[in-house]
Amino acid sequence: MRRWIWIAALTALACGGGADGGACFEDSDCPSAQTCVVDVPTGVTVCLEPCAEDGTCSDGRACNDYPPKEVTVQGVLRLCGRP
Amino acid sequence: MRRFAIAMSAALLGCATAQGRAYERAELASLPLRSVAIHVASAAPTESGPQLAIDPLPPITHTATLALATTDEATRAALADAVRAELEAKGYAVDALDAGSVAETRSEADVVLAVRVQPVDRFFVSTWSDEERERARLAVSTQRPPMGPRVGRLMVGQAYAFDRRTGLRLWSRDAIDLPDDGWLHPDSALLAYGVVGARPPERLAVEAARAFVAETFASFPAARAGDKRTRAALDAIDPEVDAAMLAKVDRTRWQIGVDTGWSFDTIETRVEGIGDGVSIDERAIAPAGTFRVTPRFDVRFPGGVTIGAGLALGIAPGSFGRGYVVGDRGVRVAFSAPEHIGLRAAVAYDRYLSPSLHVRPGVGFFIDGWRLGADPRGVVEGDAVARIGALAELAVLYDVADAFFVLGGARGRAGAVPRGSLSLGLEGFVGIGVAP
Repeated sequence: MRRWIWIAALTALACGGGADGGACFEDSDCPSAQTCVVDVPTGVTVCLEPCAEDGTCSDGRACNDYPPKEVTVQGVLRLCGRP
Repeated sequence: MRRFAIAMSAALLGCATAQGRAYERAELASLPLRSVAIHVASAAPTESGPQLAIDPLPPITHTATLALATTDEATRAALADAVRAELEAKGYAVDALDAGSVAETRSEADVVLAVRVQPVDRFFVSTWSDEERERARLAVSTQRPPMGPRVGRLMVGQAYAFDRRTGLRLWSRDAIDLPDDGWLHPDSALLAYGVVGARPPERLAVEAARAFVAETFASFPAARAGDKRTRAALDAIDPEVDAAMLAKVDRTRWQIGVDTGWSFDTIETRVEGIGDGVSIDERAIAPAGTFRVTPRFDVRFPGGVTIGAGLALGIAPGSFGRGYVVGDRGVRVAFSAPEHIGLRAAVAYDRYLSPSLHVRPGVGFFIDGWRLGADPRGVVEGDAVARIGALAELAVLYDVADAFFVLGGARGRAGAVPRGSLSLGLEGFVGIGVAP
């Protein structure tokens, strides 16, 4: 039983890169049009789709805004779902 | 950082402020040595201006004519007596050489020793005090010290010992401690190769010869029974191959080249705008390492000391992009092919293993930096990461022709970025160059 858990875990890791919502290290590990996002406190990474310009998400998920702390830092991260 | 750079520069320059050739064959330590045939020659004394501008005598080869264009019999006789006394004190049976070159001798001596000098009877020594000189050194001054004329006799000379049977050079000292820039100060090592102060001509010749011989022959081995296996090993060496190698060792070589390499370095910056900021490292900035092209310039001095410098231009291929989220704050950062520039300077010891193959271990310092090219630009702590530190390298060079070489090697770096964190790097490189 334990062996099958390991095999399943390794298979998930091997096949997870590139899958929607899967673990990633950088953008190129994700399907095109998705971005790799890390939740800094936990270190968990996940591929998420950026919101469309009108603030909608193609899969119906909610669009979340993650503005930077300082206004001098450019760019607002807008993601469909949460990491 | 500036003080460190100045100190390293001074250290590198300090390694190159004395010219001269010193050579000692490894087999000399156990070679049977009992008798010496000597040839001594002295050029006519000369006088120097404030800057000691003496053309060193050409290196002596075993086929070269030993006689000089000018002669001074009193100096030659005093020097011959001093050399004979020194060698007899070391246990040798000493004879005068019976020929005009090492190759022509019919002597049965183990060693043929040729000694030639250029006496300098008027020269200038700095009148600066130690304190004034130290002050000028710390200020990295280019001001020349005031010079006072001195009489006496300095002996700029050479001594070459050859194996009589094979003609191989065993040991040599040539223009040792002659200052590169020609400026003498009170503690210049060259002042020990002679005497300072007026003396009657006979005393001048004798005292200067004794001083020159004491300094020059301090490292000359004493007579001994030695090891017959070393004798056999020496007999197996091809004299022509050996002479070709020593001809390269004896002359100053300027080398201009270019090397290309791949380096991996620890680089760090911070993504701002979320929480207390997030540290990101080389896995994001240069995940595939950095490709560098380095025009290089080296000078190899006789004896093997080499100083060199290079300007590295590089790029870290690949791209990286990722979003960072802390609570309800977030930023996205991307890096695309960060650019790199670096300057290095090193001092090395170049050692020929064969007439074509030589190795060059060295140490030095570097200053370099990356322009990260972060997008958006303001999202990281600074768009440039700079560091300074020390390096150690090992290069292997192969002389394809007399004026053309190829090289390969590795270089390790340890440095600090301005915030003080340690940065490490490792680089492998290959290159080509010319030695005009």
